[in-house]
Amino acid sequence: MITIEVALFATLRIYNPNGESSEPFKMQVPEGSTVTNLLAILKIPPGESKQVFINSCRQELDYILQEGERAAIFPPIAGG
Amino acid sequence: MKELAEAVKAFTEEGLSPAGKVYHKISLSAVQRLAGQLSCSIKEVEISALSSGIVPERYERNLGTTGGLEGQILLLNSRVAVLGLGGLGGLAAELLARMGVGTITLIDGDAFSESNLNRQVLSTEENLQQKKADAARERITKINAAVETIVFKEMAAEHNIKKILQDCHLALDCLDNLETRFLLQETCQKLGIPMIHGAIAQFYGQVSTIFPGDPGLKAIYSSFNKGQNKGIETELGNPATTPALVAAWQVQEAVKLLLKKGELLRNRLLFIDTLQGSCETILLER
Repeated sequence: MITIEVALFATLRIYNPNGESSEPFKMQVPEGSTVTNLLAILKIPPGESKQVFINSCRQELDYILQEGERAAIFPPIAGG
Repeated sequence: MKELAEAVKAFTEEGLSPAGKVYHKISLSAVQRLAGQLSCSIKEVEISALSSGIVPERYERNLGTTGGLEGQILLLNSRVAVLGLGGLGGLAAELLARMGVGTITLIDGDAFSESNLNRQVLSTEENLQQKKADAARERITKINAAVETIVFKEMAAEHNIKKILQDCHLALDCLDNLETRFLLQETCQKLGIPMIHGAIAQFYGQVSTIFPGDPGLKAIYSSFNKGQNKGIETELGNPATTPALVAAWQVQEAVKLLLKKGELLRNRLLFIDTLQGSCETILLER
């Protein structure tokens, strides 16, 4: 297992396992987990649009997470 | 224009800044009178005054931000397009005019409706059904007659966007759909001009400054496709506050960019979460 830090922004805050919040939290995922795996562990529905940033850089869903990395996940906003 | 410079000097008064510094100023009424007498524009009179070290009083509190009179001249000589005149663009256009950005291109094909009243500062109970671009022009003219406005009462699209943006130094993305936002980025890239992106949904907002060649929207909306033209705002709505926050930040980026000051939000996305009470800055460069 590896330990990563996760922050779920805006409407995705409801998927925080410690209660609705955008505060970053630490969690363990199996070594070799991708962003897609992480989203499944967090029970974020696959259809829900999101943008994923690892250590503040945008990454694709097949990105393999590394020990100590920080994942920030946002929904798309586009209103004017 | 020697005649103008001489006439401006004749109307100069001494002013005292809030810091107690004496400076040379010219009043709005004197600027208006001179423009009438010499058949030139308000903008020309103001630029002539500033070039002679005389501050049009209306810009006195700008000068700390513009870095002095030269910066104000630079703003008066700048041309900025505001695409979308709803929650973001309506306020952005007003703030640009107050800063003294000399030419503002206003683009929106919509008219005001009742559901705009909660957040679109140009909408009132009296101007429902009025075209947003007309309302923006009226408001700007009332605030700062030095500003030249170019109005397009149509939505930006493939057939007109190049014409809309020609001669602009900068575009503000105040749009409400991804398709036109991407078209704007593509066109700005072709024309070699930067754009400042802003978007909102409910308690949330985001801003990013995009130069030609930057990944910009492609990095922000990685999952964009023709089927997904909107974000979570369609379900959550937009209140009065977040458009104002984001529009103000967009205009501050515009002013910094035009004046070449400070650090721009280039290759960075500022995400404002007012529910959590936090701002995140995310790197978009890979």
